[in-house]
Amino acid sequence: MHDTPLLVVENLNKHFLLHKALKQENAVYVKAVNNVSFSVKEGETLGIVGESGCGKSTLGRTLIKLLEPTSGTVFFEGKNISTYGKHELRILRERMQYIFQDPYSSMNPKMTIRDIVSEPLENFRKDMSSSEREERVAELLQLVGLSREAMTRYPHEFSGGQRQRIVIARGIALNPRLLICDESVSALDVSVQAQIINLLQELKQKLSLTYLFISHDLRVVKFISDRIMVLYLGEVMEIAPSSALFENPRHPYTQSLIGSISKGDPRSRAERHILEGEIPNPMNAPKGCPFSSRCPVVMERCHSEKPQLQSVGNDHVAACLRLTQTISQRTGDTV
Amino acid sequence: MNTILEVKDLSVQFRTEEGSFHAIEHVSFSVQEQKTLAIVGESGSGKSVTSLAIMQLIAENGNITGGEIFIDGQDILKLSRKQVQHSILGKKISMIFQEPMTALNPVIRIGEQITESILEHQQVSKQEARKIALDTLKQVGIPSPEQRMKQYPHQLSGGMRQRVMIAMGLVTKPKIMIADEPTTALDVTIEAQILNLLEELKRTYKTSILFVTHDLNIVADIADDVLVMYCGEVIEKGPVVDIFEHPRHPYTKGLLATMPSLDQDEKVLPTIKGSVPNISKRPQGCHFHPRCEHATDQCRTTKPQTYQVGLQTVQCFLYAPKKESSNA
Repeated sequence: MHDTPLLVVENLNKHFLLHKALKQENAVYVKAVNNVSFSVKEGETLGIVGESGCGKSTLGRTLIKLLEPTSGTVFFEGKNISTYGKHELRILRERMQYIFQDPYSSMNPKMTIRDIVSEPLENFRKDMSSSEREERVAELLQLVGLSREAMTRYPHEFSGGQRQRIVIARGIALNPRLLICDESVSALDVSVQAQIINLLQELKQKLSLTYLFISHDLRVVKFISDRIMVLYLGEVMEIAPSSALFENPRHPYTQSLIGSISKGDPRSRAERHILEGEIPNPMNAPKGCPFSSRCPVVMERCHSEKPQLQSVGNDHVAACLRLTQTISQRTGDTV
Repeated sequence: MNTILEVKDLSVQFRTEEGSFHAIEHVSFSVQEQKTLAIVGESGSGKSVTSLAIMQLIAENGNITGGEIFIDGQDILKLSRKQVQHSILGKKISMIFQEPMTALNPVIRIGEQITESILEHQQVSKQEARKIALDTLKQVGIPSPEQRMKQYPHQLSGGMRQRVMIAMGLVTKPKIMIADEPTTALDVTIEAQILNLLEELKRTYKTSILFVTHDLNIVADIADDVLVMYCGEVIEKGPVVDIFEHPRHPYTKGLLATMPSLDQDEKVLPTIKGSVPNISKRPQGCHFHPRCEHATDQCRTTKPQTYQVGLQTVQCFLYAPKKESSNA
């Protein structure tokens, strides 16, 4: 892993307009991604977790510009890509690829596997001869654990796990630097899920890839990630190295989230922690801290004051006013 | 202890364009009073077909080709459809589905949907039914139930809808509830809430639960006994602690090993090679043999019997009593 960041995101916002109004200030927005900042180092896997509606998929799509960000800057390989036009974006596509949850809907059912996997090559490697392309497709299929014979077949002839392998083969065809995996293993059966996770790990080593791994499944995220970012209602609650996040979660939301996962052990049942309430409708998200409506240790000021991300350890940041309090008490500062 | 549900040798066949296939074969199990039995399996294992067969909800191209289903001592396959619908379904047994949005009628208010099932099964007035509905909604943790009664399903969140489904399943105080992946569509914090609720209700209502899921972590949390299904067959069953601590069948072992652990830092996840075969292409002999490390020639041709190992039963030749000639 290198220390140079491959991706730097600064104050990224994606707001969806819900109701127009004559006066701009009366318009209603859903702030799906709200002031999100983070960076991903080269060769690293950053896991992004959160419950439904936390903005994790919107974030992924905004990063590759499937969605136009409302504001904010994204640096990729040191260049500001937020201002890229159509032509520059096309070049960017080579370097950044996206793997979706459902492998069936991300392939054209009428195309053979050969055509599906060679499509990016046809688009971006125009100097390749058709036999070279054929070879490259075979090589890619082999990389993801499929045989050459797969080429002449159609998506429906494959199981879910095999389809996801094909999608991954297409995703790595142009040697991208960054793969954004959005719930890429969530639709798969457990026994197959493990195979795909191992494949992603293996490819990361072989091709020195960097991953953004979006998932609601904390077990999978813990397994695959070097660092993890926790989102709630479009805002970053905590970012920490994987082990630190699980051993010493600092944000009450992260604590609740980790506490609510089953231990998977019939002898330690009672330990499952219950977080009351539900994610509020993002249309009327709480003022102040987004988690204030469910937080077990909420204070008066949490309802009005928005906490900022602050360092709480080595490479570990969290946004919670309680942390601000304890830190300022410790250092004797006034806030 | 009383047996509430007993399934004996149940087989279900489906007719398709490609021919007729058995979705489940010779499935047997029983659920005791106030106990939770979890059926666990991957897609295509037949776990949902089993629960649908019990509820007599098999699609038109399918039929039960053999077996018996006893609910509270009565073989429901011997009763007429009318009798079953009147005195068994919804009354002694009820079901909660995975996606409450499709299980609830979108154009009827919540209150009306709940009172309907009360009026169907109990001799009470409309006012009384309303009161029972309100009480039950309160019991499943729905805030301001009076208002919720007037709302339509789409006005509720996923977790709330699932609570409504549970309330509907409970109003007739059934002896057993079937819960088919009731938390799969929910977020993890809501899942924990719903599982907790089911556990609580099991105690207050003294019902048994048949819990169908693909998620072994949930099984660890809620089950008393576990039934592992693969390709339409029960391959292992036993008490939950035994299954988790001493899984016997190679498939159960593999399934438990593939769960990413929260405590350990593994570099590579153990896997089961291959994937679940399509129903039309189930292999000969033991259905699991192409994916099994221990497969022998015998496994490729002959279906193993069920063997008893401690408190567990396992369908695998590894546990056959050793004969003089069987040296591995």
